[in-house]
Amino acid sequence: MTLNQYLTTFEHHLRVGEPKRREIIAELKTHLAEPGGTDPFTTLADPKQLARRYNRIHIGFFSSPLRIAISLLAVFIFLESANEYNWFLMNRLFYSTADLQLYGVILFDAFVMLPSILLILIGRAAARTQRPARSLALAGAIVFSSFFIIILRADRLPPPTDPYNAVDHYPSVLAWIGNAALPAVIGTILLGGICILTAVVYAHKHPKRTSHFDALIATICCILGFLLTAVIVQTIDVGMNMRLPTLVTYAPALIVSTLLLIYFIMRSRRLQE
Amino acid sequence: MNSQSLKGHSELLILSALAQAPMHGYALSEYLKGQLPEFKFGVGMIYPLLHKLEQKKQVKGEWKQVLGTDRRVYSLTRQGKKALAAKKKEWRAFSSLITKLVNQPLPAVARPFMGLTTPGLFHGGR
Repeated sequence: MTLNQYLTTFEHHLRVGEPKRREIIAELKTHLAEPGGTDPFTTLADPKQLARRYNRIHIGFFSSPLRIAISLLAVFIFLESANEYNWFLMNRLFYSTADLQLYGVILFDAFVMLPSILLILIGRAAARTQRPARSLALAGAIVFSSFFIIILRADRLPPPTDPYNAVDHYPSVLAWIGNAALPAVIGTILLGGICILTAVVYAHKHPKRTSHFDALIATICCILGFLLTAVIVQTIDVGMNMRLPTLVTYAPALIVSTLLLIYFIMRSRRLQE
Repeated sequence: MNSQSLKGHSELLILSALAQAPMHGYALSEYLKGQLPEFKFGVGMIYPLLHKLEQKKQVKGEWKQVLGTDRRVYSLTRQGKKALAAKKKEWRAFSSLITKLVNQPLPAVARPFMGLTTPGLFHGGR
């Protein structure tokens, strides 16, 4: 393998974005230009494997599209299974639904939290990748999530005949689209949109823009912090008092979110100095 | 000797080398090859490890002119020195334990369980 072939293969598999990418390639070129170097394959090992090692170090767990797909799949399978089980228990005859309503509340919040945390982590990892790979990773994650959710909702499609089996199904295809498919897709796209915004705004080149990215992540963390605190407060409130939470119960959530936002803004300002 | 046995201690080797003097990747690989000729040190391992240590803030990389060429020279940070001291301590404890275990004769207490009656003779347990 010639030097150019080696570097071409390496650059093709290296998904790390700028400016780290430029540094890695320059460092490798200086090593390969040293006198006494024979075949670069022997000197530095397989270019594909070497690129993957760099990807793993600089991008992290979501350096591979397969890991992104598996993580999303695992989260949605878990949530949908829990939801289906809850639905099954609630429809059983002579079964108390008081506890199940509480689980339903927690489950709904988990439905919002878990995918959003995962998609934001994917977005952040994608922000460190090369531009085409970044767009593909994000677009792929959103399309995959939407498709998977729609498939799981397909069991609520109206049956062609047999009215006896229509209890758990929507009366028409339009009703199914409006009540099951569309909300799921909109929710996924909204969460995915947060990731795209995160990746687009992020820039490695200027420290000032890097701090803007920190502020954006801070805002997202605040939303998540608010949701997480609301989940905990709501769970305690509903569990102890069996009533809907009031505005007061969201106060801790608002306080935590505000403190987080202040901290990250101060940190961003320090980075800019 | 099997170079696989070195893999778990690569960070210790690199930090020890950089503790001697700041080096760029090629110099580091030549230094390690010189110090450990029995082991075939994978150069493809060194650069990613240096980047990993840089992320952990244990080493710091800077572009410098060395012999007329721009090279990325790595040096140990304060955190790196602490990490090196901790790894050296861990290694000393580990290697002394293994040496003790390897050189220790079978204690008298364990002999009946092994089917041994006479010290130094093995009767096969029957």
